[in-house]
Amino acid sequence: MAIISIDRLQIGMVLDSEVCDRTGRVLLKSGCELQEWHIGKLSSAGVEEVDIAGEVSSDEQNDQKITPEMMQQSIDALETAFTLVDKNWDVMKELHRVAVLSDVHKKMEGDC
Amino acid sequence: MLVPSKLVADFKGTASLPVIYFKLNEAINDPNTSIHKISNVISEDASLSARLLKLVNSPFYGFPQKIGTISEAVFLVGSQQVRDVALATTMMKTFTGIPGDLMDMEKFWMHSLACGVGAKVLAVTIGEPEFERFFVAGVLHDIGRLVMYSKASEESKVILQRSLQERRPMVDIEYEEIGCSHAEIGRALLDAWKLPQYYQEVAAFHHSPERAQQYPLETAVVHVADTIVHSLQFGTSGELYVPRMQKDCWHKLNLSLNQLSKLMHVIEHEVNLILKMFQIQEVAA
Repeated sequence: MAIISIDRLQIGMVLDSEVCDRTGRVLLKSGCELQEWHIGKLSSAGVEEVDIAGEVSSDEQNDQKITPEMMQQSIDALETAFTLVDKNWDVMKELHRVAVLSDVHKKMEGDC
Repeated sequence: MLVPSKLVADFKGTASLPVIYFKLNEAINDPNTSIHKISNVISEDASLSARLLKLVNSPFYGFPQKIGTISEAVFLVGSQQVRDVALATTMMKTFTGIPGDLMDMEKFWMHSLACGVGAKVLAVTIGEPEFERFFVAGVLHDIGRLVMYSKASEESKVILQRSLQERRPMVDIEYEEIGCSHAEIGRALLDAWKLPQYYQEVAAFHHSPERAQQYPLETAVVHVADTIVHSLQFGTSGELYVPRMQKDCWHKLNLSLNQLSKLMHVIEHEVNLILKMFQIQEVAA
């Protein structure tokens, strides 16, 4: 089992425990095999993480394919865009980190 | 010095609200209205009907069952919400004749839709039930730029050039070159179109959210969403730089750093789906 964030859910994954919304209402039961509309339902209800049965490849494993050169390329590509932001504020640091990773992934997908 | 209401008056002749919006408004305000009547109005517009059905069957709504008819969609989503979503999704056809060397319209709508989706995801996360209006407010936030590009195109070229050379946000240079900003022009346009106050206020203050008096939460959400989708490089309305996010706005949403990265992934996923739905190609940064 693995707790994963909903942006990493894929069709066919199986829930290892039930998922409730913030009011405690059960949205999906344990054992449910995810279809696209299930994922949409969780997203619309503001659910962030779910418990998935079986092995799930981690972000870290996927990110191992990223080389320092690729990271630098994306940091450079975003340099102008991030010129004016407060780089010492944690929120902007996090925004920048995720934006750089997103840019790397876009370029990797473009190369496939 | 240009006056927003004057620019908008000149502009109104070339771009008006989609007719479907007025028809829907009329149907909604009719005391004898019914879901059937509202559905008939939507069904008259085949492309809107198709888009609406795609949207209600997508993760944007996440309904558990397939929705096959417009009347089911109106029943589940609500007639006013359907009207607002119809407005946001037909807006793209309204603006033509924007000089191509000033603005790539595909990139403009990509940024607008992405900001709408970002605002919707943030609204859902903070527990706001009426998320459609956050979506629409996000889609409309930069609409004043289109009036500016259309009616002050020479000045707009200077603004874009100076922003690049001086490394300053466009909005600051807009004041210097034309005496007002795209935010004020946007409010004037939405006012002329008689759209609700919260859309006007969000457009007016998305760069200065501390000035929003009546709808500070809506304005804060769109302000944060704008920063996020700029960071993720989803299109542009001309601005080269990620806006400076105001700390007060971020704190108002009461979100953690951990939530931010997850939200960004969700926003990215949903934006890509919506862009595909609207057949707008994602342009790699």
